[in-house]
Amino acid sequence: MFTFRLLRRVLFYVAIVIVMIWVLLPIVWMISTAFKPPQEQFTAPPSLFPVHPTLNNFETIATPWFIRIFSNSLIVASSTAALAIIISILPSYAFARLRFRGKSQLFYLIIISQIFPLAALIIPLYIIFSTLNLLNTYSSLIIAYLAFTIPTAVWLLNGFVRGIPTELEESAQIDGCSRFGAFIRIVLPLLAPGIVATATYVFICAWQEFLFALVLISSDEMKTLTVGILRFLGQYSYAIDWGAIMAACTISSLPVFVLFMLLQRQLVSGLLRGSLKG
Amino acid sequence: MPAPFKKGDTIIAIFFLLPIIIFLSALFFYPLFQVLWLSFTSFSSFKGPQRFVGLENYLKAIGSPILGIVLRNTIILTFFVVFVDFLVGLGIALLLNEKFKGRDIIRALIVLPWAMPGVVAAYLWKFMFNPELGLLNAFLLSIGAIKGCVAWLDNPTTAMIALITSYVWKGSPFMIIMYLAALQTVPEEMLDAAVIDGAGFWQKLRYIILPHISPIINITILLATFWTFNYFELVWVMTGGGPYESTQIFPTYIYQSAFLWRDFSLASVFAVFDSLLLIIFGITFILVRKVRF
Repeated sequence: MFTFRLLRRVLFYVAIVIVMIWVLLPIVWMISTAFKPPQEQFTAPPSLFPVHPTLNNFETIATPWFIRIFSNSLIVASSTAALAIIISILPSYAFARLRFRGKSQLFYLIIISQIFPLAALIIPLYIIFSTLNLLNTYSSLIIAYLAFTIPTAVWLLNGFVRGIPTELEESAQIDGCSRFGAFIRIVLPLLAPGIVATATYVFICAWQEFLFALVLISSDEMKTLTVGILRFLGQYSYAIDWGAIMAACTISSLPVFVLFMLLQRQLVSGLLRGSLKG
Repeated sequence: MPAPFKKGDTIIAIFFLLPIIIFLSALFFYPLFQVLWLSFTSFSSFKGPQRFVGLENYLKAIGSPILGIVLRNTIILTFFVVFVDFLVGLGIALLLNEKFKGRDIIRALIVLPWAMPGVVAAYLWKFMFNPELGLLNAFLLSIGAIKGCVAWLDNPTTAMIALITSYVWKGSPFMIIMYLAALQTVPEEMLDAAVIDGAGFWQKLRYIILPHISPIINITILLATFWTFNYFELVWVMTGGGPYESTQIFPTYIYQSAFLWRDFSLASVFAVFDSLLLIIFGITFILVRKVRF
């Protein structure tokens, strides 16, 4: 009996190790390649860790242009997150608290709009933005990102509003607060963690986005990180500088990794609350 | 039981909801009608006149073999990715639901693939599968499983398997964190009672855990299907739809025909097929599985 339990425990840890290798190996390799000098990148078999770590690859990519596209990504993703919250907050409150005709149908319509493939949306949006002369601007990306993040933001925030007890608002209203006053004074402060989690989610979506950025932006100055990395592939595919690419990839992943580590708990509880409404 | 709706609420609701309705109509529903309209016209440039051509674009698309190829690739990719995502997600979630040292750190690390930009994941896996420099070949050579370098992304079958692998790597953490969170809502007493009644692991899974977390399973499968179906950058960066269109999927083909060949009509036809497929799947799934949001 004892040996059986020991064996079970050993197998359990072996499984955990395998899972962690599967999840982390590519990421470890990315970071390690970013720190490898050129001669170590071409050794066969490749070594997992750099023998003589160097910052050369980061120096290669640290051009004014790279800083520019990094700030482009930052501007677009944070504006999208802020605007998505501002636009979604009142609707999600309405869906959680008010009783009106057609509520559930409208809620479904907003959620279901996510069914439509972005690849289908990109053609008309490109035409609209090009007739409005908005190609190669931050606005085009921000507006496009809002279109597909707002439904999720409403869904998440709606779950968070539901988590706040109604009694608090009711007692504020009895004490002479207007409905809107109760929303501002009671609901909004309690909703802060939910707002942060939702904003993080939208930020990560916008930070990751590739297809719209590829189509709507053609000038090098206005590119965002995800599309900008393509440039490191170089003109000739046999001369790919993997060290520089992996350094750029590492830098691009860093902000979202940090955000995720910090806010994972709130984010998951939001996703779960949205899913478990029933 | 409160009344289903209140008059005062309706007025506030109109104020609260009007902006988002206008916004989403302009950016979502209007463009979708536009893409439908484009698919019935010959669209060559923004300046030139658009001519209504009826079903011509559709007949052209149906007549060419690429529609079938794209359809098949998209369905194969989506089916296997979502299926493996689910199995891997549930398996790892059950594993990480046990109590052990370092669990919190591992749970935090496990979401990293999901958090990183898709294009970064695409480069990572392109590098992993690289014939000369990649870790995969290095590992297989060292254990003697292969003799020479294998160009995984240059063969239709292995390219598809490689793509499925990277999709699962990128997407399954979402399943894992959702299932982990859901598993914590399974009441301990029910599991304890089942053990007293002599239930084994599989019985507990089948009769208690799975029914309890089934709303989450439904939503995650639905979302994973939409995401996989629409995911562009992994295929685009890793294989570009090749070799010989063997990994060409709807998003890559739509992008290619619209923005590389400037054939907006053909792209719109594919976009309409793409949307129809997802809408039909989505609605069927929601109705059959009784999904609630």
